Amino acid sequence: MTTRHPVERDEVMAYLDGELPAERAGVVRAHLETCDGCRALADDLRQVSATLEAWQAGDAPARLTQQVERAMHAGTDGTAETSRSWPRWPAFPTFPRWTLAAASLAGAALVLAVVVPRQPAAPDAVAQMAGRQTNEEPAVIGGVPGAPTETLARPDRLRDEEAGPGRTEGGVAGASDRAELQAPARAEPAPPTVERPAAPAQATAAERRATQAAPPAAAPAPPARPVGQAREFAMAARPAADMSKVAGQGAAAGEAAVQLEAVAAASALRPIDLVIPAADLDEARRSIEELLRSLDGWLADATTSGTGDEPLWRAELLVPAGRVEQFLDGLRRLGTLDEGPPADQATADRLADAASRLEREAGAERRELAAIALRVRSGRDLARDPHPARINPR
Amino acid sequence: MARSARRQPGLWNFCTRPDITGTVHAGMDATRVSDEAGRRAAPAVAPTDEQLMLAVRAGQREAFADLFARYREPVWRFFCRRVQDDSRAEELAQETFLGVLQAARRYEPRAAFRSYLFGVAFNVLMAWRRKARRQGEREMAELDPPARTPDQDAVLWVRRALAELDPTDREVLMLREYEQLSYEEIAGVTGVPTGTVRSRLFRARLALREKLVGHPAPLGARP
Repeated sequence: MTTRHPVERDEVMAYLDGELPAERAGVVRAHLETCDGCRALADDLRQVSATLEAWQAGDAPARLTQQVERAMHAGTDGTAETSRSWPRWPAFPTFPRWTLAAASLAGAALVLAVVVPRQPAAPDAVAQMAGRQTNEEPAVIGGVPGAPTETLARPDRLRDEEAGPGRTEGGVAGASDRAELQAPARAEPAPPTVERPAAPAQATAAERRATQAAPPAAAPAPPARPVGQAREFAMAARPAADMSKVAGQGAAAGEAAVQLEAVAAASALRPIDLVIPAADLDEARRSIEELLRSLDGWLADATTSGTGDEPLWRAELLVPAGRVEQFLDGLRRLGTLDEGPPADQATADRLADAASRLEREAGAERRELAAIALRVRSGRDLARDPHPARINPR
Repeated sequence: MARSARRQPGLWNFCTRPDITGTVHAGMDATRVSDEAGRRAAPAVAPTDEQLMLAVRAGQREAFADLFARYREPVWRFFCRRVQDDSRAEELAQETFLGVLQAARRYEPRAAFRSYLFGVAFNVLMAWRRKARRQGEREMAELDPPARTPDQDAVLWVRRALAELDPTDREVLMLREYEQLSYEEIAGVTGVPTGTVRSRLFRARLALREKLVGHPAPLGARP
């Protein structure tokens, strides 16, 4: 039969460190007088601490004082001279704990660029190839603005345009894009070994659609749109549902590429600029990130600027177009969404950069998809990684 | 001692101006005393760290100079024991103080300023370590002979023994032994529960005790 030791060993350590409550400290103190083992442990712990004291660091160099003094006199607004670039907040993730009550005005400038379905050249073929409705689950990308340009009314207007005459313009503008994207798809060889009922029909539809889209590809490129006007960009938006469908059907290279092209052709990029004044920037940032996670969106890019008492956070947010309203509702709870002036040149440039980045991603995705489809005929690899080309997933 | 003899122009004058020990700065109305009263009152009460930080938040740079004077050496030693070279430690210490200065407007005295300061320093250190790992830079000079202390053998043994510890255990142990933080403060700095701090600290000390056995210098010093 064994008796339970009345004092845990780490309690001896806590007693030596003065970390025990008075009542428990009295118990340990009394126990140490009677227990040789615990007393030896206490001696060892004291010896360890005494040994560690041998390492004494030297005095701070005079230059440290001079540098801090210089920075202090340069101002406390973030313009102080430092010997290296100063990380604004990523290096201090614990700051929010201390700034919950901060009353300073912080602004969170957000930009949404929503990819909405564009008028397809052959709607039935696109829907069949993409395996979904054309207004379902397209992706979203954002750009970073210099100034806000749109209000909450913008998504509604976008949907109006989508359902109304605006679709015609989108369809015309997207024709050359689709043709360009489809060019490699037509070059893909048909898989000889995969047999499934739906494959021949989809391949036929894709070929028919590619043929229809070919003539605009040879036409001259449309002229550049003026700055500030609603812009549309072709992109390869590949929702998870499409990939799972591709994987589940075991699509081979040709079909997978054509399917991707169809999804890309059915999407267009439209920006929405938002400005949210927030009382606490860190809190707002966390809330936005949680909101993004809950809606399967993600943060593509984020920068901070502004002065110490009025920091400004600018971010590119990517949200599935089908959930934009839900996302905006969440943003409304964070603060008032302000309407800003029309988009300036900087905003247009950033959006153009975002579009070109998307196109690059689309190209890489096409190549990756073709390689995967060639290598894995059953499509199991695609099922394991449905988002291989997400931009900076966080 | 060289530390006390070191007087820097400008900033040191802020730290040692006559009213600092007997008065508090403007902006701390609750504890304000006049210079005259401060001279008469004995012993005078120096402002706490939290009071100084609130004064910094109100825009008084002199209060920050006082805080810097109080914590210059502790913060310097914090980095000096954890990074490869002195120039890097100097940069990180500077970043820490500037970070506190820049974030002063958002400061709220929810806990001791000391733990807040070391929390900032810890985050600066972690950010630098992430960057150093990406660039292949060494973090600790475990085997480099120390050059600043007389008892080089004991120091070398300590540094080697610490370097062999689990990194998380080592950090907890160093925060306790060198920065003299309480368990709760360490938990706040490292972001782990207090019970975990206690268990890690105990594990690290036992590991060091095992390393202590067989080492001539520490054994010779044992009672």
